[in-house]
Amino acid sequence: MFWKSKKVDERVKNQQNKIYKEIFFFVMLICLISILIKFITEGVSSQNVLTERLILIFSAVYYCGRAAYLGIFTDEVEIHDSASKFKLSTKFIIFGVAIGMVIAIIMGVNSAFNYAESTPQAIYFFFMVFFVSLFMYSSFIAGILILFYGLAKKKSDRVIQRMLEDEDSGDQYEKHTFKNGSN
Amino acid sequence: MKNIRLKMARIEHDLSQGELAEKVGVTRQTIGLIELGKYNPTLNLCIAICKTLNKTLDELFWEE
Repeated sequence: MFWKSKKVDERVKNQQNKIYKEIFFFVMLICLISILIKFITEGVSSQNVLTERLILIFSAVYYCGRAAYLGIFTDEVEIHDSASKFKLSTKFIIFGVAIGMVIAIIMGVNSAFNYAESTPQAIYFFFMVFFVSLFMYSSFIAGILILFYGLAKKKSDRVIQRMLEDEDSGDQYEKHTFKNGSN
Repeated sequence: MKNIRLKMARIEHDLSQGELAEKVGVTRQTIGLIELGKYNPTLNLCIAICKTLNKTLDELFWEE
């Protein structure tokens, strides 16, 4: 009664969404560049890049959560899996292992440079820390990613199923029953 | 509001939701939601559906 409904021009709205998407991309890029610069100038420390990590992790978790609750995660997986050679779940595992490998290399180099007193010891430290870190971080990160993937997919499947529930019948089945007049 | 005409046209062409979806480049769920009137498709998608089903926009999407 007192509120005037705001006029929304769909062209303006679409262009605004495009701009928001670009802003999101730039924020992510700035965070990554900031992490890189801090690692180079202040050394490798997770405390130094806490804010950047929070921004990166929160935005990823928020997107996954919203996509799952709106039911579009199912569609995203379907579109991806039909067009790509590797399934999205496989890519999640590969991504987790790759991140673990990067962390393991950083940890290995850090140990070799800071704690070894000779070159053979540095090599020994590097490989020892690298393999232990690789085993720990890769399995942990890949496990977390696949767990989130599974939860998001399950939730999204349930949401989209509920949205499509009003339908009289299914897909392939419906096509034939309707034609035969039994629907 | 359910789009029964779209559903009928799809069945006339002996297409499942998944098959129509693949032809117009969307997911099966999107076609399902359009038929249920729960998703408002863009003009481009409407045109793609009409072309695939050999119908006009009026025949499929105009509400009397």
